[in-house]
Amino acid sequence: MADEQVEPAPAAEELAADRIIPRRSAMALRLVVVAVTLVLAIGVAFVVVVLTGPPSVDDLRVQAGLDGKRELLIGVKDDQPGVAEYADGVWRGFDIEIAYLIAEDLGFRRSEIRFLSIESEDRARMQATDSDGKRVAVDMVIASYSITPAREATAGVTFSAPYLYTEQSVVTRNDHADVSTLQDLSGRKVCSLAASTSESAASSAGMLVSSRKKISECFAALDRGEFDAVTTDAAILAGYKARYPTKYKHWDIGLDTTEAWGVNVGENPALLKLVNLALYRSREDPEDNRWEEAFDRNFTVEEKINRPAPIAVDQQPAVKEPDVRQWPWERV
Amino acid sequence: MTEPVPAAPRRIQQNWLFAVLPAFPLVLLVLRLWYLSRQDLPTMLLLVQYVSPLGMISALFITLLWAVPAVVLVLRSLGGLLLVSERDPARATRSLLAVTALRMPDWVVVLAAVLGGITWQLRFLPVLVMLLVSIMGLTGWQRHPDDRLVLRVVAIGVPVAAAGTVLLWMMPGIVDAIRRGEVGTTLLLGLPPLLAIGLTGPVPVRFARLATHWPAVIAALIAPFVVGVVFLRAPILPTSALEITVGTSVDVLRGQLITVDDLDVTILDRAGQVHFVPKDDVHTRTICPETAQAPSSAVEVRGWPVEDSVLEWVAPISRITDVDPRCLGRPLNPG
Repeated sequence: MADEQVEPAPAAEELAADRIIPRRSAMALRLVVVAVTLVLAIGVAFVVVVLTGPPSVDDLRVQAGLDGKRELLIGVKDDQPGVAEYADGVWRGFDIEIAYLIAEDLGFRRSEIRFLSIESEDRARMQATDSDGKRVAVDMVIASYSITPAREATAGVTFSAPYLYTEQSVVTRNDHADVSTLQDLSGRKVCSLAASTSESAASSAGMLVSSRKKISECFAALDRGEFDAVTTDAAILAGYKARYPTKYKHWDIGLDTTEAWGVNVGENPALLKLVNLALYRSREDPEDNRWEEAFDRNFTVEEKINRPAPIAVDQQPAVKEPDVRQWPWERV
Repeated sequence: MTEPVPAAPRRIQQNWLFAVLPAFPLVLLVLRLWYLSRQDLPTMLLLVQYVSPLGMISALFITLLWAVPAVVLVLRSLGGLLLVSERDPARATRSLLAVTALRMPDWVVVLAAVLGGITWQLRFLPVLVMLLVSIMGLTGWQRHPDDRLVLRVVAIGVPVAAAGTVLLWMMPGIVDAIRRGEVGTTLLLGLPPLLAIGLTGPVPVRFARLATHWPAVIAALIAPFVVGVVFLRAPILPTSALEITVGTSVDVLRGQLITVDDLDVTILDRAGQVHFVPKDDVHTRTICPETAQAPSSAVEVRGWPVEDSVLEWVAPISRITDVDPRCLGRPLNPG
């Protein structure tokens, strides 16, 4: 732009100074650039001052109501070996370990987490029962809860990203004939969990479905001969098969529907972000093996005895990175 | 406009400026305390009593160090633009902006550039390059208006080379910013070096004052807000958590520690409430990290986070990964 031509007859003072006269077009262009720069500068000032970016983990903790909270209440199942079970005063299972994983990332130590037993139909309402039988509202539900559009549309239900992919399968007593599809059990009496996804699939396959509030009640009834089979998610059934290998047979029924288990955080969008952040870090951080270890401890050990029936996908489902302000060294 | 303005009124203008300028930091300091006290006058007076002025001034200085080069370089480049665009030097020097630029020694510009280079966040460094390239080009026009070679070098060669170098170096960051959808960061990293090419020479004389005075006025109007907001966000008291005995149980009180004396620990909680906790009731005390200062942008340029300045990038930093439970409002020993 400095490649300006010398005008032949400039004003007297300019001739005296022998200065180069800038080209008009170049000057006009510069004027435009000055204007653009000015607009950009105002925009930048706005971005820096007003738009402060996504919330930090600390902000989210405050918004989620976790700040200053002494105990984190988590609704879990208590009768599903391998998934979530309460026995001898200890909570065990994959869901329990996922609960620890999330709660630890939320800033709670293990002793500050209180597990409460929750039944399937109460998972949407997030109402669990404590040891005295009192109904207690929990902060989140991690109870083999499959994400479905119908459930997501229910008031008070907000699912996190999925933390496990499994599928529906069937368990029968050991003396039962082979089962390869749901249709093989058409007309048979089958037990499932109330308000579960398996219940509707079984009904549509022509089974006589009865539902129970707890899966342990289904197995007790199966033992008594009241039912021919129990159907629900493979990860739950695999635990029973592994515990009583000679008593039951676990069948793959060839359904292509994936059951994606998620955490219900209720009407708490800040908590949703924090839970997703915990799941995202667990999946993306190569040094974080908590999910893989939980899977190995609870499902891989059941695999041999359950073969060829499936249990669950041995990889953590993908999680979209939540929009959270983090320090560079916290990013994974 | 053509009548020369006598020197005296200009001196009066300058006198006013010098009178108002020192008041600004003072207003900022008082405003910061007023903000901290949640507009409660007694609380503010308590803070005034205990908060060390030196500490506040240090906080002000550290937080706003970046503003000094910004003011110097913007004044110099806008004034320079006015000087080279106005063909009549006498007319040009009637403007306070032009006079400031004309009288500003080169070493001030160099010092401002160095200070800016050290204290500005990486995302603003292309803007710094833009300002410097523009100042260099305008100075060329100002001092060697008759030397075609000099003008070609400083007004075309330098800006193009600078833009090429900056864009080449920033490219991974620009790509990352586009991928993450951060429009602001993308523009900040990519646009200024290109704009710099168009800011190294005069503008039409008719628009010279409009193109320089108005931006200067707008900048002068915006700057106090930007500076004020940045300073109001900066902490001036350490955030602490105290474990205190309440009856038989242990409670955690978090907030900004104002003072500790023979009798009490005085703490201002997040709601703006002042607590005087008897010293004997305090079990433990800890300092809590300021997580609100975490960067909002995740973009990095060759491993350098865009919201880090050279100073921050080079200086060691404490990486807090485990948060003390007391800072989350829970006692150290649960149960």
